[in-house]
Amino acid sequence: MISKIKYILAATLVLAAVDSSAQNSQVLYYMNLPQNHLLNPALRTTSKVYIGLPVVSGINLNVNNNFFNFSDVFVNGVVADSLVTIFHPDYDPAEFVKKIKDVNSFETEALVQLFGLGFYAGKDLYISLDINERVDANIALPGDILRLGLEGNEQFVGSKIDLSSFRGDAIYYREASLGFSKNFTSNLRMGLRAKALFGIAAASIDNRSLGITVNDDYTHKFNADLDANFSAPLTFHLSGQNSIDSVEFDDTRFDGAKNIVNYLLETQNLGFGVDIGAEYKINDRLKVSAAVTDLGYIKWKKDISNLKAKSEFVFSGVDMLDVYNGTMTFDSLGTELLDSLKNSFYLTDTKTAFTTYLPFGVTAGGSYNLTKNFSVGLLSYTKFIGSQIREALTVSANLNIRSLFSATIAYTAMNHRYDNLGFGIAFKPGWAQFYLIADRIPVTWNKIVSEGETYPLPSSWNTVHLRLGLNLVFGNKVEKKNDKPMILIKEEVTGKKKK
Amino acid sequence: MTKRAIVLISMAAMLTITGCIKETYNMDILSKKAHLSPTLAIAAVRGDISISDLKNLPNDTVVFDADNFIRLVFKQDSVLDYSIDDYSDFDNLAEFHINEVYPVSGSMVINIKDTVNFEPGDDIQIEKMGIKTGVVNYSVRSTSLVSAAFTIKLPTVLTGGTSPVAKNITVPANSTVTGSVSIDNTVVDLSKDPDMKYNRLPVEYSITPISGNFGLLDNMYVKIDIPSPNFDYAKGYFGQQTEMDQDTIDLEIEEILDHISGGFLLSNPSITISYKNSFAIPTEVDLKAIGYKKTETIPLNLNPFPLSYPSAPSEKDKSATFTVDKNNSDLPELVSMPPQKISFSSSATMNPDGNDGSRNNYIFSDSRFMGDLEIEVPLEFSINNLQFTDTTDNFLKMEDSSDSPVNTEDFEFLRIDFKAENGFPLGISLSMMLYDTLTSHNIDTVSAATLLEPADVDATGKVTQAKSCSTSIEIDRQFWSSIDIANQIIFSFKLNTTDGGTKNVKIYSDYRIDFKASLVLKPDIKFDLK
Repeated sequence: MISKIKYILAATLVLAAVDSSAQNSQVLYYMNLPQNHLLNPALRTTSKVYIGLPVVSGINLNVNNNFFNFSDVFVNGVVADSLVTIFHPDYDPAEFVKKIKDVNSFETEALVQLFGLGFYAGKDLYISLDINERVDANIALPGDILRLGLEGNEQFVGSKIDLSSFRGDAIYYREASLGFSKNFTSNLRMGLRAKALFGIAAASIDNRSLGITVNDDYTHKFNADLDANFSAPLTFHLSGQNSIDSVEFDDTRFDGAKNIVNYLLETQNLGFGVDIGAEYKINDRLKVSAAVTDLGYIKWKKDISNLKAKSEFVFSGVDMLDVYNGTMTFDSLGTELLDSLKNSFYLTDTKTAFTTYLPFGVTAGGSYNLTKNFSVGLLSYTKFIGSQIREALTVSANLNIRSLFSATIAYTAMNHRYDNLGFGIAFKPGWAQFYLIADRIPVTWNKIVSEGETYPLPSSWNTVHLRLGLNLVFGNKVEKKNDKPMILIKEEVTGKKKK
Repeated sequence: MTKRAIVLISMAAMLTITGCIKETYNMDILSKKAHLSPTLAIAAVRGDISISDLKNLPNDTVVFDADNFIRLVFKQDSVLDYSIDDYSDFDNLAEFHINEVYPVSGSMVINIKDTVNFEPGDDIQIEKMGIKTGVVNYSVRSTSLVSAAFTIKLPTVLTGGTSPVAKNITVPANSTVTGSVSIDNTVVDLSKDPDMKYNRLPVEYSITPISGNFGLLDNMYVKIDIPSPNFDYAKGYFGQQTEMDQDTIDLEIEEILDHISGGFLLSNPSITISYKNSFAIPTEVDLKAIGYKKTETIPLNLNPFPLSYPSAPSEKDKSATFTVDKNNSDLPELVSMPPQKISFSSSATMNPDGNDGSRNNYIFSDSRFMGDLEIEVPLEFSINNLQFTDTTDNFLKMEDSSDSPVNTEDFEFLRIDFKAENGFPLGISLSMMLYDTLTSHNIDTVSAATLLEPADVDATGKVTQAKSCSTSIEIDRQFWSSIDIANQIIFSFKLNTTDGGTKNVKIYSDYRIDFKASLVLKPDIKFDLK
């Protein structure tokens, strides 16, 4: 009976099984789960063997944005008996503009685990093997561009609309990794995870300079120096002087299952990545650890298209002398401006390979065991995405009862929010280990009413992060103590039995 | 401890999962109204222009001095062209006729001396003429029964300057003989009569009977004609002939003048007539002009002036100029009215001082008076509140507001920012007023009182320093909505030179104006959310 319940639960949770993602899971780090080696290759579970099955492999979707929530876009109380958006005529857009940051990022990540395996070999060598399908996309919009769209360019008179922080990357690749971790000394454990990366499709913007200077006399100087590189079945049709006329997607490449599979199994876009980490036991209670993850790149060579935008031109209105001399008309002014903008972007004849770099992260942390099973932890994770740096600092309370039960409560300051309360729980009835982790539990919710139905929605959208899944785990490797117990039982000292 | 931790963690999980409801959003009452209203600023028009940059100026009309001062010059060649043929009094200058009867009798030679009186016209006293080509036609009719030898002699019509013209003819009895004698290249002296040293031509006849005697009642009927010979020159006194001309020019600017007020003065316009005169006759020209503008009149006040003439016979042509300007007339005031009409009258009087007896007037067969006209307007002027105002129907108002490409709701405001470094000594202001004729009220106005301020000038009127100007013309929603109410628009432009037009300013070709006009608009882009 109990077995049946276990399998029903397992089947239910399979649908929502999720594996780890590139977004560091702060809650996961100190939990006794096989996936923690993805955060620091020196970490390992106490289970002797772990299997992540393709059938139960999870799709993880993370969406992060650092500048707006539901309540920032939909507003009550502006118009009686109505809900309005920030575009409503009665809403003051300055209220929304105040919330815009200098760099507004929007990131989404998706991961599908195709296979996972971890096991101990020998005394303390832990070997892991993972194959994941990953999509990472991020875009950073300079705050100035949003202010420009909402409030216009007059506010920038005498200054520059700096768009140099504009960036965008989207890569779809497959990651096959092999990891090792081992004790090098009695206190020091180090781990390495080498990854072969197989790129499938990519779009990448390399922005060296982009901006609009609005002078005091309202003349505008546009400057651009950026490249957009694509690895995808796209064909850019040119017109005139290498300017873009149209873009065509070659969907014949996906006619039939065979073509799709061939496309997905493409190996021309190769890359390499590595995770390295270490854990140091200062004493039986105190441990520190550090890791660098997702150090890697992919060199894209197939289906390459390169776009360059390199120009600088000044728009200063119509020169009346040109109008008088007949070399310019007011009608031709708009055409000339559009042509200048259009001709700023041109397609090169080269099919130059380009390289994308994974957004790597640096982790550092420490934990202190208050008891054998209960510890408190401090964890810092710094993620580098282009020129942006994201920091997450977590304080957690962790309960790990071998591989039977794990639970963590965490408080994280990240993504400009200081109300991120996380929670994780895992339990193992039999071989299956179920886990539910949320790096950010929505403490406050909004209620959305639509067509008679009511839906809860987290009030904060900065981080939407949820993970739950199923692992198959076998055995439990208990670490031998090599020091004196903290608590001495009297009978052991006196040799007498306690009554 | 472990159990307590488990319980605490589970409770915390429950609490956090249930959470608290911060706010409720009812999507069923979501307003679909949306708008974007960014403030956009863009450079629209610019220019850094001097007059010397303008390529299409007609070189012969706009003239630049060496110091870059600008003059407008209008030239018209041969506006005056008079020749001897234009004077009817000279048409038949040397024409004369004789029709006499001379009785003849006896056998002796009869010598007759007669004098022909020329009548060239009123007061014309001709002393001498040079004949280029001409003939003397004669007709002699004899009533005698005997033939006669008839000699006609013009003793003061000299060929080659020495030989008098004479003709011997034989007149048969009771016959008429006609013929002609050439007087080409002769000089006719009409001054030999001591009693009247002009207009007198002596004629001599010698009549001799051939083969017989003349009867007592015999007569010789003599006709002599010199029909309009082509004369080379004529010397004498040609009277005080006066040619008069009158005209009125309507400049057809009445309608424009109804819209103009204020003061404008061109400082130094001039009219120069360059002429070539081969009439060696003292002539005085009296040119009168009056400008009319409504009830105001300004006469030219130009005194009569003499024309230069050649010192004939050694000098046949004389070239000279005559200028009408502020020094001898009120031309600047007349031109600057500006007049709706100008009435002209001119007269040219020969020998204005009368006949002094010298009879030294010369005219030649090719005498001409040719004059070229040049009107020069140096760009030196003063303008004091010269205002042009015009009222039009409200063309901005649409019959059907749905036809309007722009709705008042589409703009919060539209502003034109104008900045200039004005190197011209000319200031401009403008305004546009919406007017309701029903209530006789101005509804709304957009104006730029100091669109351009005139640059500073020195004592000579030359700009010393450009003037920085900055102005904004804002058209707001109230103005747009007022368009539908107003049925007329009143435009007004005002010009002023430096210091309110109290001093003359000069325009040089190196003056520059550097201007920039920018458009700042705040559209109200409305749309509906789907």
